Amino acid sequence: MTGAALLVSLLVSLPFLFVIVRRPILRRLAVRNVVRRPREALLVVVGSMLGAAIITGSFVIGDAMNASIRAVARQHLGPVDEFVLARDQTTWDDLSRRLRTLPRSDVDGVLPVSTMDAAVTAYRGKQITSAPHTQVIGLDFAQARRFGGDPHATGMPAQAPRRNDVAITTDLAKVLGVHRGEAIYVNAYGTRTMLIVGDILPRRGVAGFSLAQGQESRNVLVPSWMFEEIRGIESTYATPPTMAVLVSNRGGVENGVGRTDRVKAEIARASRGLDPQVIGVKRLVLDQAEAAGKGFTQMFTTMGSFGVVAGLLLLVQLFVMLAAERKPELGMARAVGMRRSWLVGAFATEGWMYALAATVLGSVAGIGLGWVLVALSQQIFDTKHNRFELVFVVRPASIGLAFTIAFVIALTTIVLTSARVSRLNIIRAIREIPEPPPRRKRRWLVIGTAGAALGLLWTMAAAGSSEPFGLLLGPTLLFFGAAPLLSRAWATRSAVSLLSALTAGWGAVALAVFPKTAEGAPVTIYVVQGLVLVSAAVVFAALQQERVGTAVKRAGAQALALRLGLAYPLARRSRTALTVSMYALVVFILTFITTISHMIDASAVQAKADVRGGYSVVVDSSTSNPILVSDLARVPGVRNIAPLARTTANFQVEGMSKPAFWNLTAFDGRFVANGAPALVDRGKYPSEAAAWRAVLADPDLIVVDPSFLQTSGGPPGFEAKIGTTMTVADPQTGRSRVVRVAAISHSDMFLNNGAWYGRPGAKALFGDQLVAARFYVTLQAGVDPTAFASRVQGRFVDNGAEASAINDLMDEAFTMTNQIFQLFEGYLALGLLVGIAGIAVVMIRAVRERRRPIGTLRALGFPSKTIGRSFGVETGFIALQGTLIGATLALLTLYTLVTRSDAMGDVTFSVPWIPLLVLLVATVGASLLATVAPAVTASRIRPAVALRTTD
Amino acid sequence: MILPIPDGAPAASADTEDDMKDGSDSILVAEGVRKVYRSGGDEVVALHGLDLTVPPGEFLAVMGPSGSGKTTLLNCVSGLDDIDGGRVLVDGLSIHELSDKERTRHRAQEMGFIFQAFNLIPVFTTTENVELPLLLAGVHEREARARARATLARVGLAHRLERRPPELSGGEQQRVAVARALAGRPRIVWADEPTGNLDSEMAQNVIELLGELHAEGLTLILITHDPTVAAHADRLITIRDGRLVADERLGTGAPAAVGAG
Ligand SMILES: Nc1ncnc2c1ncn2[C@@H]1O[C@H](COP(=O)(O)OP(=O)(O)OP(=O)(O)O)[C@@H](O)[C@H]1O
Ligand SMILES: [Mg+2]
Repeated sequence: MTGAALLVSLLVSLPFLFVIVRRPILRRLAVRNVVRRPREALLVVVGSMLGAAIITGSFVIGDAMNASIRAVARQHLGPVDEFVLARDQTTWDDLSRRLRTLPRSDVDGVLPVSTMDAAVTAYRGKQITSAPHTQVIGLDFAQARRFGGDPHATGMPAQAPRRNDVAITTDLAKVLGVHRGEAIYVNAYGTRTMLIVGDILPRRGVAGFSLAQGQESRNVLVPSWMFEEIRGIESTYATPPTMAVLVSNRGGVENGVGRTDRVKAEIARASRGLDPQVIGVKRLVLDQAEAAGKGFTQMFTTMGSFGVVAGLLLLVQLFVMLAAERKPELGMARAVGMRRSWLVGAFATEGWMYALAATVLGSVAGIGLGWVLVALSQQIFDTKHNRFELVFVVRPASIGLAFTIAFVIALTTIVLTSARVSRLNIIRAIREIPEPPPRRKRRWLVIGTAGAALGLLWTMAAAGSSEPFGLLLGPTLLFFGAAPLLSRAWATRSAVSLLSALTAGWGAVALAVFPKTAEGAPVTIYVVQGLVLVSAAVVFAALQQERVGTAVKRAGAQALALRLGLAYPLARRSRTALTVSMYALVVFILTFITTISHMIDASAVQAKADVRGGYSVVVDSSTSNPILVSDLARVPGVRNIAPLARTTANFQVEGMSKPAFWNLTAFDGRFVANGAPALVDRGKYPSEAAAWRAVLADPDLIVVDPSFLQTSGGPPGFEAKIGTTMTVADPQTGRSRVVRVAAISHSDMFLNNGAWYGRPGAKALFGDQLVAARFYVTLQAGVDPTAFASRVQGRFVDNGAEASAINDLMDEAFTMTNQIFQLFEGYLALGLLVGIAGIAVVMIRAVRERRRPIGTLRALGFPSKTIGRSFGVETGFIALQGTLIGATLALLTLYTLVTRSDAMGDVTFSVPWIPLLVLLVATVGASLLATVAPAVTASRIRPAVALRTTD
Repeated sequence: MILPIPDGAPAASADTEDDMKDGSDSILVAEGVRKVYRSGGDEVVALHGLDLTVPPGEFLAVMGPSGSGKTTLLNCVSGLDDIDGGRVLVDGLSIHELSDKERTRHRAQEMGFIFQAFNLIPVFTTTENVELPLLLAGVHEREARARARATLARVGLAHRLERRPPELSGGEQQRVAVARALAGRPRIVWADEPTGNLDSEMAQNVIELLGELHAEGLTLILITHDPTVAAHADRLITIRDGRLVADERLGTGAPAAVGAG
């Protein structure tokens, strides 16, 4: 991978290497220019390294995600590749015996384990510490250490703890604050067992075994006979322990997965008649790692692409300026008979050196940027109910790929720009004559009309199939293709103005006109949309500059600084357009993200009320030792209790090759009576309560939320709707039923209820597994939910109680969302740096270019302050224009999206005026600050000296 | 923006009052002006204590070989550049004692410049270029535009009002520059080889234009290499190695006194 990527970089470099080696004249031209103006060269390099930095940074954060989940595979599974779940105790022994016959060529370990959920407590002095949701694992220590090819990977000790002692994981030891030799108390199935900690094991392999969501493994490892003792006399109302067999494929922790399919088939063969559930757990985790990593990389590159494009525009700008400065020299070269292609060659070779240096530096900076992103994400994701540890890794393969992408993009830009630059008419260039209006060439007419026809076809095809890219780009092609034709009938400026206005207008409303298209569209569509919108708007603005300028001048009466400051940007329209686009692009995406974040925030209050329904506290307890409703009811402050039974089920909808896990919560009549959560869509039912009651009564109906199956194995672009059918199955027994979505609930984030299903139906499907260990509680007036929750938690330690105010849980989730958006905003603001650096560079160069005119103005009697101020005006004009274009387009796009389609989910449109104003002021302000230095230089130009400069 | 400069000398402090009397009937008095250029360790003395008095309304031509210090003289005496010795009184005002700001205002109100290299502002149209000095002098925008157009008409460019300088011929550009120097009705116009880049017909054109203006009472100080241009002047001085080596009155043939007094 790395090799291939670097090979591509080398291949695209070959022409330049050839020039350097075989064309001494060109080499001299190219190298001399770099050496002669080292500061300028440095500017070009620094200005263009951001693209590479953004791309590399995106890869690094994706890799961190991937690696962190992969680490989970090593820590939670180690040698474990398949998890074979017995239907019950009696078949378990048989299953274990039969699996021992699996072929040694594929399998190098078989380990029967039994697990139960327990609440563990310990005493530290007078204080009680507790670890709800701890897993007790019964196994044979010696056998566990031999499991798989590598004893170290099992995490098991070489020496089993002494008889009567147990081993616990470091995670559990930390929570309880216990050390070797101290006592812990395990509460399960109504019994309480004191155990002595004989060993503390790392979170690794069998010792760290966990199938739970989080990264921690709170395990108590005990010999099988002790497991039976802890279990005691099983009470009737509790989820029974899980009896399973772990299987290790031959091969290491990660590369054993290759055999998963074969081993699964062998397990099925060996256990025929026992019907165990076989889950390829290792492959699940690794696939998830891959997907999450890719998703992260994609998300960051998608957003970063605006910054990358802005960086490329800066590169073009710098290059054009460099070329402009060297015009006379180029003219001489041409005059003495140098072919144009040679000129392009020399220029492009110089550019190749810049691109190489910039990409190398950018990649290094990108690793740093990635590190910062990882550190910040780590902080954001690690909340009370969402423990997550991100590890920073640098994978050479990713860096190589990022390098190649950035390098090829930069190089392409440079080569194209060089070709364009060396085509300029030398005479015109020297005399600073603006580009003449494009000649009406027949060629363009033909190409344009063909393009327009193609655009029309594309549009029609896309409209038919709701294909979003065609819907956006088809009309764009149509409009711009029509430009040459329309220019014949009309003045070019009016024609192109009209067409670009049409394009921008279409870009803003396209997704709203075809709301279906927007809903399933990939996020890249917003990048395409942003690019189309911004470029069309900038073309429009560039053509209307005179009008804009006149308006501004009228407003500013006769201030000379204003007149002078506007003169240059108005006269150099294409350069101005380039800089304006840089700002517009970056501000577009920043406004977009800021507004979305604001709208989500604004929806928080409603969302909390919706998810809460009539309840204010949620109480969870251990499934092996659930709190009894009657006990909970005795806690002062309680008014009503709705017991809920939560379990993990297998779901399969159309388009999925294998089922995926998702939570399922079973409710009863009490839940509805006390005020069930609000629904997004109650389907055909007259009221929400009626919908809930219908689902309770009919086991063929289910309620899901919009996030259903979206983070685990659902088909791409899947979104459950009223009427969607699916198979729901008990993972343990495989018993299944086809159900239909009757209503859509609100996403409940950290509450994690999953799908809502009626209690009777659930009991039929899941049997004894299903235990009401979760409770929604309504409180008496005046009782504080947060205080109540902590009281409950203290009171039911032995039941592994975890209680929270629902509002607090939701707040935690919203805070996390908010911080993720802030991270995005900060990341995107990097693009602003490009804009600001760009304007600084442009102004520094402008001062040099304009020495003579400035000298003249000073001689005419222009005060030096006016000269300085005019630079501020120029910057302000460009920055303000770009910022306004970007912000307006983003708001327009979001407005149409939010009001016309469901793509943005359940939010109402509102504008974050204050943050946007801050963004605007900060952007323009920073740009003005960046102009101070060049402005001062300009105002210090002495007329007598400047007038002598020959240019 | 506008610094009201009263006609004649401002009320100056008592000790300078005396000095100023010398030039009370001259628009320009230069006394012992010295200019030294320093670049690196080198020192080039471009003006060696030069004296010059110009009465109002005079057309003075300056000649001299290349590198003799003509441009330096113009820059120093007009106040565009600082000097290393001596002093320059314009309208009795010692311009090098003014702050940069005041000097700039003074320039905007009293002086016009024409350069060999035209030096028009490329991004402004012809009209806008000519308007600049008027706006600087605080003339209202509408009036400035009207006067700029009238001045352009006068130099024969009524049909080029909205062109940008790069789109004009050299002669046309120079005429715009002349119009720019004149639009604000300055009292002194400085011209540094205004015909150097023009063919003889164009040059003649520009000189005649300047001649007309001079006839209206404008003080004109013109540097040239061309004796036929210099022949239009009232008086001709010659510079060599930063020193005034000849000062002759033209037309009368009688040599004027070298230096002041
Ligand atoms: N910035 C400078 N630094 C050093 N020396 C300078 C500088 N400007 C001018 N000189 C020198 O001062 C002397 C006078 O120059 P000036 O430009 O006044 O000559 P000039 O008479 O106008 O010549 P020309 O007719 O060629 O325009 C010359 O020797 C020149 O080399
Ligand atoms: Mg000169």
